[in-house]
Amino acid sequence: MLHLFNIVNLAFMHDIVDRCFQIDFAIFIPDPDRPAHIQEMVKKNQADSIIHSGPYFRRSCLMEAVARALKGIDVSAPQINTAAYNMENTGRIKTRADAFVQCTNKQQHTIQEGMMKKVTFITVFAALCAFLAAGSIQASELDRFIGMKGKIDIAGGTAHIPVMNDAGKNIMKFNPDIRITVAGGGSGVGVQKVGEGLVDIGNTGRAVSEAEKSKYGLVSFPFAIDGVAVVVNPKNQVKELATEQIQKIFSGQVVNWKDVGGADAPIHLFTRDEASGTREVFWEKLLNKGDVAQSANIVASNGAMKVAVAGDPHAIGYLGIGHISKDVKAIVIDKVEPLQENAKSGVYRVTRNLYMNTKGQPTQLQQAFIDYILGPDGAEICKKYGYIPISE
Amino acid sequence: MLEKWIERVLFVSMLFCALCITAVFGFLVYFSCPLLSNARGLAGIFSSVWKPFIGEFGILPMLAGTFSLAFLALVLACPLAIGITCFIQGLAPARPANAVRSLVYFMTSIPTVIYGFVAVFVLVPIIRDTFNRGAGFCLMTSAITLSMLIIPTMVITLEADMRQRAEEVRLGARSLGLTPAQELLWILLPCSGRGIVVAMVLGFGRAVGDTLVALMVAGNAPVIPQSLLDSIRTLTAHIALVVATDSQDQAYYSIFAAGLLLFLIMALLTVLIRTIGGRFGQREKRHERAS
Repeated sequence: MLHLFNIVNLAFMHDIVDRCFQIDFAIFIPDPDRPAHIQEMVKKNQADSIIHSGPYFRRSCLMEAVARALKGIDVSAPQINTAAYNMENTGRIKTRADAFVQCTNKQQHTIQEGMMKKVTFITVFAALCAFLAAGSIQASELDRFIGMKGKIDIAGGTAHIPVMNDAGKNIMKFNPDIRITVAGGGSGVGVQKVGEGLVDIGNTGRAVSEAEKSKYGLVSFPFAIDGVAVVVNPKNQVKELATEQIQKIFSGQVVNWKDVGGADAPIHLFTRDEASGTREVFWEKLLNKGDVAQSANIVASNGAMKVAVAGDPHAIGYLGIGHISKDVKAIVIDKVEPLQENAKSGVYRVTRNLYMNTKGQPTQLQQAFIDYILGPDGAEICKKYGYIPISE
Repeated sequence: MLEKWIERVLFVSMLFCALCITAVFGFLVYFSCPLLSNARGLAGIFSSVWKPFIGEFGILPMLAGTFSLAFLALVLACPLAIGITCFIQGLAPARPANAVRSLVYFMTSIPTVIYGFVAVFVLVPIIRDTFNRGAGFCLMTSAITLSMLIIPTMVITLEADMRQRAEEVRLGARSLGLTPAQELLWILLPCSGRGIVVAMVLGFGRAVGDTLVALMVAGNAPVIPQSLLDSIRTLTAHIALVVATDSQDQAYYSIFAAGLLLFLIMALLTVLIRTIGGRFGQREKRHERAS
């Protein structure tokens, strides 16, 4: 007899059951808040035991849910520990199912025989499915979130968003009791929102000013270095510029590409909005706080800058190095290529730190998040988006 | 009894709304106080130089940008809106008329960001390559995009007005042997002066209030526009750009001044609509009495 309940992923479940003949019943519980379901099924089928499985089983919320369900029903509930079950590079559903079955088979030998007699329930939790969909997770780094609950709201610098999003996704997948929201707004918004207590972590692409620090009592956590590169359209012949030339271009003294070794065409200036941390580092480190022509077009994000420069053969602008792609061409400045390696070694000097800020000392959960970003996982995420983790 | 209660509830709602609006106005004034209270600040705000990094916080370029953009958009949208309304209201057979009407209604539901997005990828390169001056993010591009945005508003207002008038004159027109086109051209359109003005004012208001189109395609350079191909910044885009800055900065206060200006412009437009409505209404009444 074979029953499948609440199947979240039909193909996957079939695969498991096909390979695992000693399983007579299988239950998927997509929602840890439905212990009644377990209870009902145990009674109805006179189950002798329930075998819990799933890499997320260590999570306390699910343990509690099952424990509640089993209260009053006299069945044993051995666990299959699948923590070692690494999903990395397992690819499609079938191979994942194989890996899963292998893992459970191995462990089942260690379970007392008496428990296996009649009916076996496998409770596979929703988290497993989320896990399967997502691929690998470094369990060790995420362990710090075990048993934690609550919400972290993050806002501020746009350069931080991809990093925060990835970290948030990993954490929320690991422990759905934690909610993490990520919003943009720019460095100024980050300071303001965290200062006013509207969010828990305010991101800035610049060090917070003394005035801000003293007004709000902010604590800063730098976690990555970001370089800013001058970019032009890939069709532009100009490959390298001197700092002085760039200063002249942006101040409006040089208005034709032919004056800096390019074709005879007007230079279209693109700069960033007043709130941009990218603009700040560009303005301070490369323009030396010099003038930017008033007639320069202003775009409101790294993404908009990329779109503008990629679509205009005569454009010049600047981007966080992490945002550079084949759509735009990064300019070699004073013979130094704008690469993260050069930014890290200090050869390329148009760089800045990325910060997370909290109002006062962070709470336990906030601290866990900050530690995660500063840890090896966070470093990986930073690298993925082209930033240099500060921990390295 | 029930009627009394309804009256009371409505009165309280009205009071609440009025209070909210007054509060918004009050806060705007309060927040812009640090700038408006001293003469230097006031002069600083009403200067034509916006260089926040060297302490120049003039928002006149944005005011000029807002008005030039809104006027230009209106100039482009007005003939189109009147044309479309005439088409719907009598020139076209029922089926195409209905199709156009649905299209116009559909246009009202398109989010602004989509207009902006399409303009960035389609209109900006066209303008840049055609005129070969500037980057294409300019007054003209944003005005064209914005006119697309305000046309539906204008058409719907105007059509509602015209349809009402059409009911009144239809019998008379038919009995005189006028074709629908003649009726439209010689009777309806001349009668709809008020509708046209109201539609224009509404369209203008929408154009002044829109943020995203200006932010995405106008270029945002804080300079007083000299030509159609100049990059401009509107008050709304200015607020959107500056709201993210260091909130302890003086530049931040300038957005309250910008907000105050926008609020006043909108209030003025509303008063204008009211006055127009009232004046035309009275004139019509006089006509009725005379006849």
